Amino acid sequence: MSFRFNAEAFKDNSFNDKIREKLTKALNSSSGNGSSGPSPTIVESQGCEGVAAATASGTSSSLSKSSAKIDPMMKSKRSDILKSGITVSKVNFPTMPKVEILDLDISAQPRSLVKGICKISCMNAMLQVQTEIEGNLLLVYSDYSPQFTTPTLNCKDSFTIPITMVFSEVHLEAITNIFVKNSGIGISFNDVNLDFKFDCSIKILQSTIEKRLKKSMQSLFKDVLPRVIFNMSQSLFTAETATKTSEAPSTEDNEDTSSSTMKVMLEESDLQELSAANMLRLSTLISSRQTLSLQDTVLNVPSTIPGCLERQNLHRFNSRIPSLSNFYASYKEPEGRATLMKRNTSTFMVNSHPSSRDQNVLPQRVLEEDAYDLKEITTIQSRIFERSTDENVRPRRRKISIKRKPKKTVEAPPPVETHSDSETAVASPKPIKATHNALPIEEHQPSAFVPMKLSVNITPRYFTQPERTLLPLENRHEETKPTTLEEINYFNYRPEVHRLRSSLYSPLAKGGSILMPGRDLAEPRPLLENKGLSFLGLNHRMRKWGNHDDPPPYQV
Amino acid sequence: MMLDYMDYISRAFEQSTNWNRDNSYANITATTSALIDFSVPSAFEFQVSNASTPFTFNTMRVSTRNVFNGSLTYLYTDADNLEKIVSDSGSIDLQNVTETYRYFQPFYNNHKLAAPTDGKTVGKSLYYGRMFYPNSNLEAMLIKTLDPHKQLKIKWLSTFDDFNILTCYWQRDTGRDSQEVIFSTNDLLCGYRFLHNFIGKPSKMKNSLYNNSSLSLGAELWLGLITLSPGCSTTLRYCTHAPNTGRPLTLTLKWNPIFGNLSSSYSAKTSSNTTVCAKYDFNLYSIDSNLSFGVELWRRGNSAKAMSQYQDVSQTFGKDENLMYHHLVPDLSQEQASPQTRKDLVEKQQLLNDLTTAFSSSLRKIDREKTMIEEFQNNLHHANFTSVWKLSTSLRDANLKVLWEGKFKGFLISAGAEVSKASPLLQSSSSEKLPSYLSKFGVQLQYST
Repeated sequence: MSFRFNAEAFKDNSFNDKIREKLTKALNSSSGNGSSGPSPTIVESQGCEGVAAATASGTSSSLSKSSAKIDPMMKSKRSDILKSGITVSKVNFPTMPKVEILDLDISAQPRSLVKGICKISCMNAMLQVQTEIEGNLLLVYSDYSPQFTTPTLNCKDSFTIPITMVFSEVHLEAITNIFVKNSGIGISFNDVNLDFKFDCSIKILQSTIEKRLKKSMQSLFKDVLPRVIFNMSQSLFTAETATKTSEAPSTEDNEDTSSSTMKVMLEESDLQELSAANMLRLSTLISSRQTLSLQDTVLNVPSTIPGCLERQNLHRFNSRIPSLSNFYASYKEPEGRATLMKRNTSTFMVNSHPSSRDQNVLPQRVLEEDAYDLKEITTIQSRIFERSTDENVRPRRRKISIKRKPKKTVEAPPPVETHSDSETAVASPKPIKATHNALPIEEHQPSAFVPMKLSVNITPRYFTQPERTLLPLENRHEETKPTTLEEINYFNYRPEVHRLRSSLYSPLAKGGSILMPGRDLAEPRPLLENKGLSFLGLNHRMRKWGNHDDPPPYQV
Repeated sequence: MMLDYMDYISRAFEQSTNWNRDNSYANITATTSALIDFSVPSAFEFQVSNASTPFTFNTMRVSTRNVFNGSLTYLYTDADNLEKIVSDSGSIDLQNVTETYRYFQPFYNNHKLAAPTDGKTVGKSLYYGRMFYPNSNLEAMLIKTLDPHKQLKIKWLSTFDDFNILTCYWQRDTGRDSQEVIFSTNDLLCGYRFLHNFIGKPSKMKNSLYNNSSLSLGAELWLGLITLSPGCSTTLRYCTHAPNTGRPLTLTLKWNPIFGNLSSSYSAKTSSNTTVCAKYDFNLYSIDSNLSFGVELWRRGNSAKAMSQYQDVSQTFGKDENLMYHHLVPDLSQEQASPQTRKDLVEKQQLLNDLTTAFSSSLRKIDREKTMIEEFQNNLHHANFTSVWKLSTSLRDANLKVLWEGKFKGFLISAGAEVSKASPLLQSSSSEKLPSYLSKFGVQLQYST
């Protein structure tokens, strides 16, 4: 992960003015609505300056510290006794606040994406805050009490007192732990060393205010600041999501310009709530799209993000789409497989072999070598059927009970689903009639992937090769035993795809991922026209499951 | 805003139990606040009230601003004569249901009136309950007269989120002095206030011999025990009549020693249809000042009934009460005494007669003033007003409040608007001129049977 720290903003002393403006704005806005703390606005605007998220929270914490410093005293009565807005008249940070990264642990664990330890220090800062407060507390009392039970007071004269508070020689040193988690940015302050001189224009109040300030510092760094930053990061992420989703329909219009966008696959759970980590991944995706960097060695490129499917890994996805050609991929032409297995080659290679995933046909060699397995074929076909149709529609199947050896014709699921999407190539499995010689089919098979008792011609490759390519899938299947047709019916298409996804990216499957706004391609890809996959688009909020809109396409 | 029906009933209760609400420090500046600090309705509100029996009253109120809400009020009282005092919205006197110029009767007049009804007002009580919806707040009030000069008032507010406030008032009013002890559980507020009426004595300074003026001095002390917020103020009020026109005027001077606020006000009924009030606030510590004006314009309806009533009353007044100083002269005809004393008496009589002739012009002047004042007063009391315009403005706040209240087809309508600049919170942060805008607007309809 890379981040940018805009140190230029702190080089000259102009950032003092910026801080002053922002503090003033934040303090006044909070005194306006009174409910939310002032810090989020500051931190947010600071984050917008191009400081990467991890460091932004670090540097801005020094800002929000100073702003929240004013908080505790005002908090209880802020909306009440303040007669005017809060003006931050002077801010002076003679030296730029230092953020020292002591440790940065970047791991792609789903729990926390980035873990870091920072040392924040800021020296000799000065802050002057001016406001006006209402001196007559009884006026405040009678204004904010129910009229019925409040006696009429004659001494309700307003008496405003201007008050100036100067915080000088602010020294702050803090060791912070920063976690960028799925849900937001978590910060804990471990070793806070804060010292300042406080000077109030009303000398009577000075000691009281100072006492209260010092007392509230503890809770500020323990509770308030981490919570505020966490909420800010959450709101930042959700705000981003909101704009993203609102953008999504508009971007559909300009299809031709967006044809270069990447297709990202995500899990179903991601669509239910978009997490911050996903937004992080999403931003990585965008940046990688802009920088055209696709190397695996750099962390957090799309290929390492769980659930994200890059163009160059498309074949991996395609090879797991249930279809006969995929299952019997080992029987294909060796040179074709070679290109498929080659990762990191250019997209040209994959493009050169587009038919490999499009056709739901048995390779010729399978028939020639008599290496097929009827159970497998029916499984595949019924899975294709389930993916392509509504889960409520049960396939019409004819079962043929086999008595004894004579030649039998086994009919795969009839093309009931062709009415829904006949234009897709995958979705309509043709009835495959295979003649089977002298092969007794056992009605009750004990377990899923026990090699069937096939007759003569089975090469060892038959069991090993698909096992190798489809290993995660097979593991899952062993748990759920979806062998017979009846059992397969149990699964609707969603768990099916989910299984597929999680088998593709099983180690990272829990973290979740997100999809970029889908953009439509002029030329529809048959695979994705399949209904069972259309939910993978981010814009599922706008669409219902399984409608006939074009799903976000792969880019070819 | 127009007086709530239940406030009207509780005032009727006070009237029936001879409780003088003006003789309290809480209402010492009631005239000023009625003319300048009146509240403007801020929503559309509709009230239907009903005096189901002479002792029970209920009100249903609905109002809509952003949300629809309302309240249901029940009131029970065992006071006498309420059916004579309370009238429905069609026949009610407008000046009884609007907060307007408080016509303060001097102490001795009041005292004389209060005396004969002693004993009958003891133990009367008023129970009041109000239920709000949809937020289910409850208000309750209990007023109990302990003896002719003492009264206990308990107000209670309860909300569902464990917010209960109990406020107790213990009030004592002897006519000349009025004391009040208040305790509220909200912030544990304790308060004490008193009011003292000085009995006016003619002096060199006063060229008016008929003394219908009153001077009152009051003070209040407050302390919120939880926030330790203190408060106190003292006020001087002088009510008198213009000597040549007989129109009442009130002057108040309020002084808040803690915060240095000095507030003086002058309110006068310049004619029977208009009232003018000016208030000047000045803070000695911060040199803040504020000047406020308020005007009331009453419009009369033509009602022959009211006029005839008024004439009857004025005649009785004229016969009865012209005796302010004349009663000092003893009546000789009823004296049965010795010639010696009789001779003295004759001399006395002679002396008095001489004095009477000597001061006849003054006595006549007194009579004239008295009748003029009382005429004006009665004219006011029995006038059939149909509507009133209220305007008030304040220089520092730069606002303008307009309120119209009137009777229309048996309804009491009060409609008002307030134009002001942006709220003071936002105002001071940015120094540029803020445009004025309509900050409040509302209509209130009341109907009662």
